Amino acid sequence: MNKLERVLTALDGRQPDRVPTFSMLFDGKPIDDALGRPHPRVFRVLEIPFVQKLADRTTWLWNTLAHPNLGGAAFFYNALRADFKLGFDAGLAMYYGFRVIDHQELRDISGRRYQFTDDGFGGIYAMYKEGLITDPGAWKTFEKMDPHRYARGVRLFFSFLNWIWGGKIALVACVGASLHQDITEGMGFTNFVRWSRKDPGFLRDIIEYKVELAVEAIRAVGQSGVKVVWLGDDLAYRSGPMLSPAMLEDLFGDGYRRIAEAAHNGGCRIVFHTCGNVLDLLTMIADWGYDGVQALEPTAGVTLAEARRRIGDRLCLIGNVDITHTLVDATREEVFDEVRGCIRDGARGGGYIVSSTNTHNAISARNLRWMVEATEEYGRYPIDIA
Amino acid sequence: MGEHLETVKKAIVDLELEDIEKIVSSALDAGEEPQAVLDAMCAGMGSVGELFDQGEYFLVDLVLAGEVMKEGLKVLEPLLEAESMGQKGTVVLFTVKGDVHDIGKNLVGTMLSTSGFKVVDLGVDVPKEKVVDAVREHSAQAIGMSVLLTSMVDSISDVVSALSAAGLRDGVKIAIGGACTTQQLADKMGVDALGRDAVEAVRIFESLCGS
Repeated sequence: MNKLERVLTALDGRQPDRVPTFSMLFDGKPIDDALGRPHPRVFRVLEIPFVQKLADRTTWLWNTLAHPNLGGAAFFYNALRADFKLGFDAGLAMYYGFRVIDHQELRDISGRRYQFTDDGFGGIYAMYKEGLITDPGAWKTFEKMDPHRYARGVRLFFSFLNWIWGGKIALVACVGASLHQDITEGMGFTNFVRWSRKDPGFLRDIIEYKVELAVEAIRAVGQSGVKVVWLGDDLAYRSGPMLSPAMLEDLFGDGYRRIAEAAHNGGCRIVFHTCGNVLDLLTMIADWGYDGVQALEPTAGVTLAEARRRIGDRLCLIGNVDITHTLVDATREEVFDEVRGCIRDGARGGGYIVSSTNTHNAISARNLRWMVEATEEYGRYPIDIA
Repeated sequence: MGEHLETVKKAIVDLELEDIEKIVSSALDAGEEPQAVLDAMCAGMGSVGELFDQGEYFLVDLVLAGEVMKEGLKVLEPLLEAESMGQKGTVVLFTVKGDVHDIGKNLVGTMLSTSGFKVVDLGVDVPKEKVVDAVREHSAQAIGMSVLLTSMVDSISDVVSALSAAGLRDGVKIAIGGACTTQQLADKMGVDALGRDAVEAVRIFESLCGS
């Protein structure tokens, strides 16, 4: 089996030759470490007043360089290079629409404001600060991205990456357009909560626009030749779902179904990424038509055994490898033990992919490599772990 | 609890965002003492916490209950004695240096305030020096640190060290919470407790403050 066949077989709930591995690396430090190059300590440069003034006067240049089809493609070219070097079967690339406002701030197409901060290692990190679409008036004047124009960028971006990496690694496409997370962060969670009570129609207008954007973008992924779509859309936090299942279904259910359908109609499988304790939502995600669910955070109390017990073979389970210790500063033995446990609890009969639950700059490239090595050691079918 | 106070409590439990101001005003007009109305609202928040624990309510309901409380307090606060809230102790809350996430912290603040704590909210991206100053100025019994990002966890030990260097560590209990926090991290950082959510945070601070 090649890498893509291995991944697609697992996503279909069947048993490949070996448990596949998936990387969701999109932070600079571990990518640089994996590629054996220094991580540029550029944040302190942004603290120099002259540089700040210069950056503020040349935002047009930054927005050109940082355009997803230029800077984004270059970044994910390197992210995939790192994934390939580490031995992963599948790697994530994200098309993401945003605009640099000045030396301090970035805004995205969902209305999020980000603040540039130190990434903890001297590099630059864009940290979510607040949402701009606080009320119906703000939504009315918000400059909305044309879904067809956005889709053209998506098609170009993934066609390019698939042309370079398609035969070497299974490319997993995130189109940077989700529903619940984009909307709750684009207006701030508290505003979302208030409007859900005061005027759900306002929320439904935004949801409809976001569904259209995501559907067009996912169609474009299918046209680019990429076979797996990843929808990053947090629905839960560490002790359970953020919304009741009834509210989630009422507001978002139809949209999530249409997004899954668009992926399948384009010949793609689709994976739902959500952080938090998602156990109570697994059935719903399967009902919406998704092929897999990714993250399955152990720190939120999710175990693969319990997830499998609840959902059977209706969803491919992806993740469950810890990013607070195991993939940060654990020993080789600890990483091997955890991966072995994940394969034992999640992989029997197929339908499991080893991956980190998420990504951040403190993740160690060395530990990621150990995760891949452990999968190669324990993940050959038939699984033989007591 | 009389009929008007029951109505106030029920309005909190039923998340009556639009009507709470009117209901609080009606209770006051009917002769209820402001402190009694506040107690009824806090009792309502207690019930919301129980419903959350039982899985009947979700995070969205907890946040909405906090918003209902805020609307009710707009009517009530001018009438309350300054010391009427905060009998259980003073807690300094903040998100650590380098991190600007605040949903969890704000929710913990709301739950603690409505459970009888005085909350000093320092905001997000807070340097350790500011924490030390706040603990000293407010004679806080406890601090609550929120951290979402694993790359920022060292800020926790920075605060612990700064409190020790200032001679304040023995007099203040420390709890942490946030997506990347684990018991292992809490042990490593030398803090006293780890909280999973805002409802558990109330129990933790009650225990830490001996209330």
